[in-house]
Amino acid sequence: MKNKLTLFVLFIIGSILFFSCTTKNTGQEIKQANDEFYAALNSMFTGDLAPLDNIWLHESTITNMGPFGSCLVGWDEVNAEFKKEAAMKLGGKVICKDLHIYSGKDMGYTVCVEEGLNMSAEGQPVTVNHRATNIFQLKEGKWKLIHHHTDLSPQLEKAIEKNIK
Amino acid sequence: MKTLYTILTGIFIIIFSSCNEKDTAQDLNKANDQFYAALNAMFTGEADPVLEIWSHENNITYLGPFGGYLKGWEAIGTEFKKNAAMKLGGKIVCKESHLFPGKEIGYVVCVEEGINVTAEGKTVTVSHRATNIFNLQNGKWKLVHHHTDLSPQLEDAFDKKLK
Repeated sequence: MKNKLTLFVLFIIGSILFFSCTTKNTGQEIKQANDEFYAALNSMFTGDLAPLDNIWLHESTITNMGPFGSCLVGWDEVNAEFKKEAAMKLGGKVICKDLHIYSGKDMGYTVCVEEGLNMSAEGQPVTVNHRATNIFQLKEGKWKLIHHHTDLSPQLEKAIEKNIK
Repeated sequence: MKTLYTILTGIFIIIFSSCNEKDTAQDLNKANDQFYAALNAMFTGEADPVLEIWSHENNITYLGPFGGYLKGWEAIGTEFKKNAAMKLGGKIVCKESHLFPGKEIGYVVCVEEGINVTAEGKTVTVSHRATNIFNLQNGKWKLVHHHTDLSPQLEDAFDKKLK
């Protein structure tokens, strides 16, 4: 009887530790995926689209609402937009500040303020400062980006208007 | 006979999964509709429905049209109570919605369109993109994150009231 009780207590402690570690790991993994996304964005500003291509999920259900407006649905539309932006070689760098992570078992999201600068068509630096939401989904053991929403950025739109149109 | 059982089990699993996914999407859509009905009730001064649809956890987040970055129910609940007290008037709808239902987290994106009314009775057009994230808690989809684009037109119109 005593042995059974000890086993039961150990089982409960083990379960608590297991779930606690899983939650912590999930949060860390989402943070890592988020870091990867911002590194990929900065690579895109130099014209290299490969890292961004790797972090996004390539499905018809994903969505992107970027700083230039519109709501893109599906990988085809999202990819076409990023190809266009990569070709612009905006330059500069953004970082994800004041990061908040909400993690679930197979989906999670991050919120942050994107801060940094890009370059205008004339080579002038343009300050970037907008709020962002990023949603990730666990697919075959990897966290993939399925939605990105940033506030509209009139200053970015104005600065690189000519390039966008 | 064994093969028949295997096939029947397979068909049953496919039908069950398909129905389950459909139900999840419907439930998520319903929660999103409930949120916008609650927002419109809030514009008349009624705060309860919007307080009901939000999760009351300390890790929820809100990025509203007036700017700011609120974290946790205490800050968010206070903000929505303040918004309700302003009785902004008008109505918004969630157009061009796109749903992504997960097992326990799902999201909806749409364009919020409609009008609000200033203290002077003038109408202000609202049109901004929104992301709503829900989490399944005790069988109910609860809002855990709401992000709308900044709305300069709303900010200009309600500047005096907010500060």
